[in-house]
Amino acid sequence: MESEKDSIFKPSDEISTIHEITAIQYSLEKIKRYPIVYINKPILENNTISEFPVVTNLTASREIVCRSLGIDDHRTVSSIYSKRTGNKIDPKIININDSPVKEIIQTNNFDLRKLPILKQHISDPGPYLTAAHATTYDPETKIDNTAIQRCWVKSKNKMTYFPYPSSHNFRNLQKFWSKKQPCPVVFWIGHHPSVLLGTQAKLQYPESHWRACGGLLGEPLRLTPSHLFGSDIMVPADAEIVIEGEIPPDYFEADGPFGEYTGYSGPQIAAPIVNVKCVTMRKNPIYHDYGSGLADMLVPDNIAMEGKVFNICKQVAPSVTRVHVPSQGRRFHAYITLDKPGPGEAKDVLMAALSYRRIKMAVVVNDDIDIFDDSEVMFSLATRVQWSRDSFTVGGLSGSLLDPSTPSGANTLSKIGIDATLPLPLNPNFPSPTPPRSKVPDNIMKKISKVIHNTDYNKWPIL
Amino acid sequence: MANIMKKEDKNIIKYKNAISWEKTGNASWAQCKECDNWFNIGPSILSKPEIKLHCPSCHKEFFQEEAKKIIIA
Repeated sequence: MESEKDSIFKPSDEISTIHEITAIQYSLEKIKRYPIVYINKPILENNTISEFPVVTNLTASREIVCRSLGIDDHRTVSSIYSKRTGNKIDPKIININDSPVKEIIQTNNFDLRKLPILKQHISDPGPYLTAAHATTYDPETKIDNTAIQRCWVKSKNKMTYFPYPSSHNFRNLQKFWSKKQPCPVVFWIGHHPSVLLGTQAKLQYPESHWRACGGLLGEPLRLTPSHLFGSDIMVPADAEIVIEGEIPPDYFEADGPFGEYTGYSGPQIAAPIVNVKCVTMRKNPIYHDYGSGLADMLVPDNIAMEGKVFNICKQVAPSVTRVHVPSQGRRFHAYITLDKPGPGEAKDVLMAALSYRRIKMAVVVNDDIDIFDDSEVMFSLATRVQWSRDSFTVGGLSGSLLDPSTPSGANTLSKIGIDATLPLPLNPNFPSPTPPRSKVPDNIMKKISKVIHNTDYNKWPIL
Repeated sequence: MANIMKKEDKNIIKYKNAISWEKTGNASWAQCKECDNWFNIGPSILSKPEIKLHCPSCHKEFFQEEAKKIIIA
């Protein structure tokens, strides 16, 4: 975080883990500012000050996330993410004694409630791990899987765990349970943003995420054996905190409601539980939290989605240049730019993008539209679309059932594709058969923008 | 609201199937037997009546049949 020191908000006040840290994030989103938030003195539910600081909003800014990946322009990340997670690098195994996350090992005298775990929203029943990366393995192939999945900490050594039913961790869990065996699991918290994004790469099953993390890091990810499960489950040697335990077979307890990425409270569900048996950590760990449903959680996952959608669409249309999955659309919208698409390519791309489970609305535009500016996308929709000709809906596709608009009992969703590109000229050398956009010369714009930027314009009225 | 619901059981209310062009919600609700708080519940827990519901407000645990009301979407 040192290189981002000017982008860190460090309030000196004592701030409660119960709603208050999350309220800071909501307040920042209201004023459209996305610094990293570092709370040195978080107050626990029992009104004592935690010995561990909290970092949150670490990944709320696309600019910060992309700088951490060595990318200057965040708008180019979809193709770079796709390329780097494809250029996989094998992890490096580190001796336990050389692993920072093994500096402290607690097998008896730990209490999860001493960690500054946040209770974020009104309807949450208690404190949730939101940035815990759950790692399990497939007992048949021994290949591991990692995903961010929530846990409600119910007591000093017990928590619920919610692997979404379509997730790869859920498949692993079911394989152990089918033999009436507990499922081993570790949850690791805190790492470099490249690693956090690498774990969100959308991979086949079974396929480990460690090599994709290495691809994003540009070097091998350092791994070390977990304390309880040895080399069966490796953990990042440079993580801040690791929680290890077992999931007893066919046993469920109530979990939730929980404030979800949709911006709504997800329902109470029947969830497996984890009997925690060991905690390891650095000597002075920082506890990492993701603000659920806030840009902090949406930005990294949406960047991973942009990489996936870019990949899928590029296979059917070479004209694809950029993808944006805007956090305003939760995880449901994708804007895609095309550079001189051939006949039919726009709709080919829409079909491809909508085949990705999470995308509910796909919009393709020409590359004169900045898809990272919603007003530009709206301009395109307003002036380049005749709805009966340029949009289509498809029902019965897979999607997120957490979407509050899904009809009760539905297992699939209805999706829309919108072609907001300009019509093609008769010949590539001819002008477009639509009028040109109104424009001031670029050199004049550059000159005048300096005049504006040298003025104190913060007090002027907004639109 | 009352005209689209029907009373099925002592404490269970179910929405009637709506016509396809009408909007319907998908949230089911439980009312805590202790503090009257309403909280939303999903199909995975509704289908397992042997699992106790947990009121996120007062932390009372209770079976579905003990809830003051259950509204099923």
